[in-house]
Amino acid sequence: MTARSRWLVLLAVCGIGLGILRNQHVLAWLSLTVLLWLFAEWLCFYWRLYVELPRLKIRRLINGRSDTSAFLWAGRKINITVEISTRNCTLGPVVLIRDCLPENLVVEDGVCETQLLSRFATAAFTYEARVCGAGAAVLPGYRITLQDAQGFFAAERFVPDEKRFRVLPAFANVSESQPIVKRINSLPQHGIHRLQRAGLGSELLELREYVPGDPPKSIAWKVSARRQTLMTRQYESEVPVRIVLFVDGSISARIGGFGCRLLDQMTFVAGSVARSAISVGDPVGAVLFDERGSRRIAPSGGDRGFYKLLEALSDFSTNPAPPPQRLSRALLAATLRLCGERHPELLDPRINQVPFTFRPFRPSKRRDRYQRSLVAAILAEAYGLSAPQLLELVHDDTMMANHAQQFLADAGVSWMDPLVQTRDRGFHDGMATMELLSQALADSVAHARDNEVYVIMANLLECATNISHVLPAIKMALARHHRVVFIVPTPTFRRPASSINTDSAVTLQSLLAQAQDLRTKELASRLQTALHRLGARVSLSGEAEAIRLVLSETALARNGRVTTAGAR
Amino acid sequence: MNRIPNHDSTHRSNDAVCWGSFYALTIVVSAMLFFPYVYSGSDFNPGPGLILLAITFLTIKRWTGAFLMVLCQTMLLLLEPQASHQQVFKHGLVWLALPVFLIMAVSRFRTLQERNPQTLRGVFAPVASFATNVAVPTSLVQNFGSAVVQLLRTGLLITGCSISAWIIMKMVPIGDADIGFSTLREFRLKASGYRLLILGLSIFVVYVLTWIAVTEISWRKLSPSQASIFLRSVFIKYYHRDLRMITLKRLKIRRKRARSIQPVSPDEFPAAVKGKT
Repeated sequence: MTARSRWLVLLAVCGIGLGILRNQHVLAWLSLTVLLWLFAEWLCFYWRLYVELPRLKIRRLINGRSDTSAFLWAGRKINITVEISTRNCTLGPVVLIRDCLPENLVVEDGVCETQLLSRFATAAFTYEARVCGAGAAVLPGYRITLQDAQGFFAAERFVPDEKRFRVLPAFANVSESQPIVKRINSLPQHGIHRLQRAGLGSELLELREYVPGDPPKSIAWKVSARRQTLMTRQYESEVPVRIVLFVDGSISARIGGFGCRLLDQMTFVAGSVARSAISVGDPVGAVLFDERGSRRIAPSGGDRGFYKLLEALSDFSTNPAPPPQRLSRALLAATLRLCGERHPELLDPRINQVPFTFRPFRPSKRRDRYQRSLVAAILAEAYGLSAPQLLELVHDDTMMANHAQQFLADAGVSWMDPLVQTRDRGFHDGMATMELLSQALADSVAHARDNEVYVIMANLLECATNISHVLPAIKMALARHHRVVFIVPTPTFRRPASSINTDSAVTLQSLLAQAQDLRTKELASRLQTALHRLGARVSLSGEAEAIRLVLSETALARNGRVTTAGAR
Repeated sequence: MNRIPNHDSTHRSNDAVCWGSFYALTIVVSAMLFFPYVYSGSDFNPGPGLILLAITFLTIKRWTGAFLMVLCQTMLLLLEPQASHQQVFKHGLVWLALPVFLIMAVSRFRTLQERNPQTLRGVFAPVASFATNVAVPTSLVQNFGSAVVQLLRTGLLITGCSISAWIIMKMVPIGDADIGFSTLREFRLKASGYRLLILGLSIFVVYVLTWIAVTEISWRKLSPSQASIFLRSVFIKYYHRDLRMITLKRLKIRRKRARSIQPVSPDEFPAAVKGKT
């Protein structure tokens, strides 16, 4: 019952009373007619709600297909069509149907809802949405608002129609610039590269003096005759180059909206590097590490290996249960909002009854307690809690905060306020990241073979001043003749400008952007100095430049050179 | 796929235009019909005149059905003579029909306006198109057709309600104090109070019976999660005091235990551990 009808009922009752008492028949008749009319409309509305609405059939087509699970690509657009039909009846007159979207999908064209103001049997609406970031996208169902023609009664219902999608990370096709070292005599097998170190390949690397133990068939007889001493042919080595992608999934990399997380930059670089490397036959593996531990994906090649890697990156990008935090009003309000959107019928006070208590006395606190009780009941239903546990949820802040966080995370809410408080996380997260990275690097070196390229994508900007914690692990990797490249994502998704003109800034926003750029630049220069000293290469942000750097390092690893200039 | 109509904003605005036009028409008719009543007596009565002006001019912008109801009731209160049951107010049917249709039209119009705030501009579009000889869009004509059908349907409902109201009022012993048994003399009730009591009781009985039927149907239509929440919340409601006491006690013990586990200071380390470190 809306406020509109409540007022009419009140006035009608008053009118009847006055009309009867004052013996004014038309006044009483008019008021009684209005009252009966509202009563009839109420009955009709209930008929629609309980008889006609369950007959509603809604079908969602994504890019013309109605599969319940599939995969999508981050950064690409999808076309969603929703078809509505009723079985052997019509529904109306005022129905608002909204397709509930997760945060990972953003409407680009059209609207994800339709208003049906007259009775209908079939209807449809189409819109275009963009997938923001890798991970998962769950379309939970539809929210339906039913109203009568005059707006006297309204009810909200949620029709579940869950569709779960795995979102694979985006990748770019970056053209690789291959330096030509020497004209090749024979083409090696796909994925096998001529490493310019001594080995058992078919290409000549160098001639050297004979050493006892050299195989007699490798003696270059003509050269030996010319020089009057035994000379041995040294052949090149032919080995595959393995690329291992280290992806940091710690808290600091996951904070932010989908598509704006540092993790999204890293998965983009990882996908692009993998695509490029696999296209030339290099096997690509990964080490995905976060607070939960690290997961190693063995290097593999081909399209199958590429998709396996992307699927692993997609699963890794799905936000896990967030770190626990204290209960705040904002967290509770966000949970209540989500409950209102996904479970409006469970917030009905006739269904979800809250016991009366005298305390708290203040109206605002009473309202808060009432809302908390409503939310607690829904959380108890969602997670199968008993009645005493429900009451515990109402009184225990920690338990309530944990369940509210879990509820929001399950619904696909990104790691931002109020789900995760981001203040004062920088330093501790940086230390944690370095510890995790060191551990993952040490494990990987232990499992590694020769000639691997380690592409480390981690949020190390915050720990540029304390980078010494991770240096032993890097030194160990370099000592084992692996190449190490660092890709450090930036909060702005781009490299800081080379020259920052502070005079040109006039707005607060541009000043803040410049301050951020200056800070990033300073931290990046510190980090680069420290890592360059060891022999590791560093690139900032997830731009094409970073991908090219990794590819050039891979090219160097293939031919065994130290630098592009040609020194071995 | 192509057979399914796509409900766009044009459709919505046209619908609103139809209802807005009907509302405007009802206001004009009301004004024309009720205007003679304002000046019917020998003395000029400013009260009803002002109310009529308010109904005519001020309702289109913001006012809702409740305001109109108040105005119509006030007019009736001022203008209708206090008559017996046989003396029905002149043009009583008009006084009944027009306000109800006015409330229906304004409520419908406001509902559509909430969905599309730009509808008010298009209310007079059909009139303007007739005046300027511009062809009326086909969709608008179709919408007018559907609006008329809906209007007739609601009109039938309201007619049924008014007849029911008339029947109920006939059941009430208005005007004849000694009707039926000698209740008035027995309980020393005033005639008007007795009438009110009977009418209120009749409406209440009908409402309660229907409410029971509707509640029964809605209970049977509950989803499993709704039923589960209902049972859990009712259980808590009944045993709230006991459960709350147990829960708070348990929380208190848990907090006390957590507080008792203090972080160990370096001085309290066992000697063996100290030696190792």
